[in-house]
Amino acid sequence: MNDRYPREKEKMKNRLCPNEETLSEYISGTLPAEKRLLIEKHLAVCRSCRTLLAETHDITRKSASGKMITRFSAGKREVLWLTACLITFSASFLFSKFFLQFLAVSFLLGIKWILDAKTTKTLIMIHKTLKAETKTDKEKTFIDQKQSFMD
Amino acid sequence: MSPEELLSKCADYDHTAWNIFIKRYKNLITKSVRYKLAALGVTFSNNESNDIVQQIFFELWEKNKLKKVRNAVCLKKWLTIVSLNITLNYCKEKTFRDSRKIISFEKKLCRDNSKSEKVLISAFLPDEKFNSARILESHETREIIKREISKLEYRQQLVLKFNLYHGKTQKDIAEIMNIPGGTVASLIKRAKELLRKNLNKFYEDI
Repeated sequence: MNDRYPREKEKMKNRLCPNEETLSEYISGTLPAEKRLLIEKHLAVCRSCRTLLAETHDITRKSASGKMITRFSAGKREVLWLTACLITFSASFLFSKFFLQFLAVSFLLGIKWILDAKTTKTLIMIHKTLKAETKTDKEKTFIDQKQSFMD
Repeated sequence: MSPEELLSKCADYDHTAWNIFIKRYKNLITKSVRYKLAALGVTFSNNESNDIVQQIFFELWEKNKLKKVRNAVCLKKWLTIVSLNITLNYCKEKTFRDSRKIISFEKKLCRDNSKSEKVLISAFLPDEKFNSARILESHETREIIKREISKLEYRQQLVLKFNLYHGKTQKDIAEIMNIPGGTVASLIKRAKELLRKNLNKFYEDI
């Protein structure tokens, strides 16, 4: 049985996997540069160590609550601004004493919502590219006119 | 209690520190165990996965493994790696324990020889068309690609393998290797270009 897979046996002999401490230091970025080099050379050929690192990354990334919050805010930011805007707008009627103050806040939040919206961003992008294109067109026509004038 | 303090106290077998340690990291270890079981495609009951979690804590305690942790910053990642390894070993042992005896192809299926004809296990093997040239060809292509990847520079190899075999994005790879995302992008691009070039050359030679 042992002589049946000589290549695999040879591979196993050559493969000296780093221990758990070294791998955790590598993924945390606390390992010195020389050791990192050695680990990377090993990782390039060792599938099990690579899998271990990939899985560790998956688990620790998912458990990092801070990142989850940022991911949430990135996705729901638009709705958040709109809700805040509507709440302050309705509060301006509820607390008539501070009507103007609440209205001003809701106005600002509304602007924030509009500016943060994806569609607005896209529109701004399109406008900028169009502006740049027309600028280049104008430059071209100017150069052409200049050349014709020179001729 | 800071992780450094907790580590040093746990290494000295302080009971209160161990209680805090278990409370703090139980969720992470449970998550790691469940992740590994799902990755292996093994379905264990909740009790059994809790057994593995217990075994992990027991091993940490018995072998005083926490003493080995040099840097408290890496504690979470170290714990995850340890949990994944112990879960894998548990599953390997379990499958070894539960594995059936190897039966010869020539063995008769019916116990009663007198009543029926001799039926061999080989008669139940799938038809030859299921392991035909197509499968062989795909295996061959895979081997060729593997060989060509192994010719690349080790960093390009690593990045490409993370990307192709483990389905990691550029951002993920940058986080794992602690290098800028731009470097990962250029490494992948360069590796793919080289691979394409080498494969084209290989097929032209054929």
